[in-house]
Amino acid sequence: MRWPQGHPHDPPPGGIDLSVGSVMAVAGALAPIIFLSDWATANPGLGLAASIAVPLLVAALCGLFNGVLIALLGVQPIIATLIFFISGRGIAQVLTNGNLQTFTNPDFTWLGTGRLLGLPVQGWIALALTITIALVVRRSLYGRYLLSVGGNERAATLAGVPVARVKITTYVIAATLAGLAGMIVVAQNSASDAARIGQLMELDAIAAAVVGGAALSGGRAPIFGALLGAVFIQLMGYTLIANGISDEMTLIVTAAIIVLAVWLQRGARA
Amino acid sequence: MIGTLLRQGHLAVWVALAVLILFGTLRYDNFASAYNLSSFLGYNSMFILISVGMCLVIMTGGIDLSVGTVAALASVVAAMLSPLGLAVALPAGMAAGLAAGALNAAMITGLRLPPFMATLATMLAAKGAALWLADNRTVPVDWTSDFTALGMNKVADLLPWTILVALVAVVIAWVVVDRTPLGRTILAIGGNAEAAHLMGLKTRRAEVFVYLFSGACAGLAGVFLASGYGAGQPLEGAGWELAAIAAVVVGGTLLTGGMGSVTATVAGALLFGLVFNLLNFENGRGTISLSANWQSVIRGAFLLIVILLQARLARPVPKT
Repeated sequence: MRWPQGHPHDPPPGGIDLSVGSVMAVAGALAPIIFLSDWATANPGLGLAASIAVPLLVAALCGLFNGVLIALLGVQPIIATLIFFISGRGIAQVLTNGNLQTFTNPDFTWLGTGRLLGLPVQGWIALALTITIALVVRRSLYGRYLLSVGGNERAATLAGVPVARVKITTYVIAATLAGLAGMIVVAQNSASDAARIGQLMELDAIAAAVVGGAALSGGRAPIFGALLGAVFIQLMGYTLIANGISDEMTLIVTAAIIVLAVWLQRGARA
Repeated sequence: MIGTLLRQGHLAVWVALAVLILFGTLRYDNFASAYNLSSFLGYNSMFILISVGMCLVIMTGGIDLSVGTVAALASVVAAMLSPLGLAVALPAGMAAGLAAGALNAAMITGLRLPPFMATLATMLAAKGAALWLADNRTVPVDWTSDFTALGMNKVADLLPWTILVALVAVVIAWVVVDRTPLGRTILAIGGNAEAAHLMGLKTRRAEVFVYLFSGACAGLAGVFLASGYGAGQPLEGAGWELAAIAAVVVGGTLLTGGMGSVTATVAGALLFGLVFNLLNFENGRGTISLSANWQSVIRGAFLLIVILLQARLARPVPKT
């Protein structure tokens, strides 16, 4: 058998993280395990701190794992993050024995249900993080590096950008944010179901980023656009459901909007 | 040089498969039994189908994320039409798959959307359509018609009909890739799409073909699901696309396209299925007790090992 050989492909620019939903599940499963443990009930203050810090750290480690596979071993992002997509939820289920963990812990649930100046705490968190990340992407050296790697990896390498470090940092940030999201979901529900936290969330996240205008091939990062995209997709879902349009039709409409958004962006670039 | 390396890579999959089968046969009494073999092949015929469809798509450098939910949609369509018999329900299920494939092909070759996004949209839309058709429930099949014969009956009490049908699809894919100009075009697109186009190859036709083929395979897998397990299941198929991608990757096909092997993909799909089959037997002996929760962890670890091996194998390939 012979296979025609073209030129060896340059790795496609831009990354993707399929593992965010599973990382949410891992972090969301860990937090209750920690604050429900005997040690944490004996030391409530420390226990609460640990139940927030440890899951974030574990999520960051998941991101480090993704980043090392991608940046140092040259594995394609879609394949590297596929590993945690497949096994992350399983790890969360092994941790909890597949059981639903319910709890009452007002300090922790404040993360998901509390209010500050009339707005939900989680909303403040999302807003603060969005502003921070937008500033980092626009103003910091890392942000410049990030866009140059996404825009033209080879040029970035030749220009002396520490490509591997930039990529690893990016996957660590994505995973840590996913971990935080997982804990917020758990705090909101006062319950942690490893099988369901963050399920299909990677698709929502990709859709939001695309609708918000992040080019899938990388090199552009409209952070506020992604926020608007996420809000738009959620609002559209709620509006359709509130108007008696069923869940399944909402899926079809979401699909159509993704196609339209990607197609419009192609038109704008051409 | 590259051919040799690749063939060694392919050989590794077959060797791993043979070693696992030998291990299972020696260690477990009922592993080599007719019952285990036929239920193993029956279940995995669905995954062989979608993996082979995915293999062709990946050879062009594309991806088809919609196969899982398209299979679910086809299972619903086939189950709803099952009272009319296999002769109607089977083509109808495949037609549902072909329609999804046509939608993918139109978006990718017509609107020039990236395959990842186009098939992601089809994935969502097919899930919505399946839930809508099934009214959010599983759809029981009609047991009085001949519909369930496909999924339940076996040749000589051993080989399920589904695996034989899946094999036909495998042979078609293998002949197309290895023996036809269409197959050479498929590989040329994955190697360098622009060069293939400039050489005057009919690249668009080849791309349309792979997405239609993948859709048809997914549709057929959905028919198997409904016929073999007695219901159209709108929520089944989650993660199937990733299982198929994993099988293709394990089979040594590079995700960038341009090369690959249909037969090694089949071996990859079987290898994945076998790991679980062995785990079930090991659980049955009571030496370990791994709950179902461990399955996906082990699947991920398995994929990791293969990827690490491939990263080592792929690196020293020099430019020719």
